Amino acid sequence: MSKSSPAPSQIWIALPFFLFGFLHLAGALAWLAIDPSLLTGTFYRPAVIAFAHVIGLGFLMSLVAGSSYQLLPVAFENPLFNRTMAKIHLGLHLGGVPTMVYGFLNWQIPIVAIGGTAVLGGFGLYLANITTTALRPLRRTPTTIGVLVSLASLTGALGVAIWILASKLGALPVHDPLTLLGAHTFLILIGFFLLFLAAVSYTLLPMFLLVSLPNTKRAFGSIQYLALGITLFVPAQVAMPMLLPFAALFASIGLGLYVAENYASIRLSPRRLDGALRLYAANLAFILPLAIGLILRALQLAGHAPTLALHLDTLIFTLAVFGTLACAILGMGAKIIPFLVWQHRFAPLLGRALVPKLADLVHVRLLNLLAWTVPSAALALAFGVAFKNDLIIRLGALTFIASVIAFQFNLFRALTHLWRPATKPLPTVNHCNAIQS
Amino acid sequence: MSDNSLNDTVILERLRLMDDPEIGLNIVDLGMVRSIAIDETSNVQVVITPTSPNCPMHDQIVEGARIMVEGLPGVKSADIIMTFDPPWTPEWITPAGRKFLENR
Repeated sequence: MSKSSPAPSQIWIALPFFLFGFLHLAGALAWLAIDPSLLTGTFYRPAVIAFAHVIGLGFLMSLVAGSSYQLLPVAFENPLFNRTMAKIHLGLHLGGVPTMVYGFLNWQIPIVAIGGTAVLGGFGLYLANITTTALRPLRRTPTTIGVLVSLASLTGALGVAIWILASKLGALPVHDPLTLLGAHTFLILIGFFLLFLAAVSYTLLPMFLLVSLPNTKRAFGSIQYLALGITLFVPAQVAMPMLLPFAALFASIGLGLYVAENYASIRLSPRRLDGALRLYAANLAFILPLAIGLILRALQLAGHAPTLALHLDTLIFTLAVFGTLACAILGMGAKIIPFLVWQHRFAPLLGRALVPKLADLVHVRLLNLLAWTVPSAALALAFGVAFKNDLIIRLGALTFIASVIAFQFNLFRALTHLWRPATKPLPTVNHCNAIQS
Repeated sequence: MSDNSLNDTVILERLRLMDDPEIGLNIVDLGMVRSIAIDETSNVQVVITPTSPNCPMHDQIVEGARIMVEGLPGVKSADIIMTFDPPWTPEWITPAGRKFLENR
């Protein structure tokens, strides 16, 4: 039956989030090229915590929030609950993140608290907005359930962050900050970002690949295992380290099922993967080493494995952020941003003029190139971190920066169509010609 | 009276000018156009099935197809119906469309 589209363009909410996010990614990589010890040195120090928040809040959260307001109404098949809440979130995020990063960098906890309050307020609005959108009415798809579980994990991560901050300000009894930091990082990285990615991929990837979700049971299974891993992780990390290997194992099974499901979609597709989809697909290659790293680290923490020379915490962070998440986000970003421009500028002209395709808005060859350079740079970063080699980290960071700049150039090329739309008139109709053709 | 030269082929050729912007293939070769009916007074009805129920362009495709078909000489009105039952399947892609997707 006919139904109306749930997704009017949210370009003026999504685009500022995207630009803010890519700016932070480029900044973080430049910082890393200058100071590779951010990934090889001890991580409980101001610069590393500031760097982690440039990545986590500035890059990843900005991209996830911008994508959420545009994509989740489509995936949920419900209109966005409230645009004003999204705009206020944007303002709070854009103001709060730099304040927090400045506070961490100078280790001024009251400034962190001010920025954090703004960011937290924005998260509150985001959570309420997206949850309400999902529930009006709730459709029990792997995407909807997965996003809701990831939001629950984000709430848990924020709770732990408040606990850490309150301890620092003397409002709560002091708990081991490293343990809490580990729980916070796991909940954000695996519980929120990776679970969110898996959930959203179950709608987006089949849509782009022209297939149905190959195995709904497997998709739900990945969500369930990830949820189990997340639920078990925090109590295990804080009080019962012997349970950590089980938490890591469940999370790894969830990630493995995510790879299997995405791979099955790719195999079934009648279309050849373009540069953006190849870049997205590269994220799957980082999941196996990530899962192995998670299990090894959990065994170490539980006292069942010797401490290895490899820096597993930062290696896991590098594989997850620069491998899986960056490839997936840049790949999907290369689809979504030109689409936002197209939808805003050219969709109203459909039927009235010949409008360009998305591929006409960007440099396709540049995108094809990025499908190689971004994963290669991420791989170099992972090797550099694993073997504590500053030179390899610098090379990886510089290759990554060049890729991000090329990506932004492509993005800018698409954006120019907002003020310089290129259309052609429809050909005049001649029935006889049409019949002959 | 109906325009004698107006038929399914003319309408399909017109709709071939409308591409799925992401895939780059027109909606006819993509197999989205399921049926065309022209009544005796040149009112046209086109049934379209998007490739995905999550397609964010339902409304624009309907409106664009309506304007395109109504722009044809002899068409009195165009009614575009969107249906998801049965759901779109890759088997509906034409051989030309399949070749385009494989070689792109």
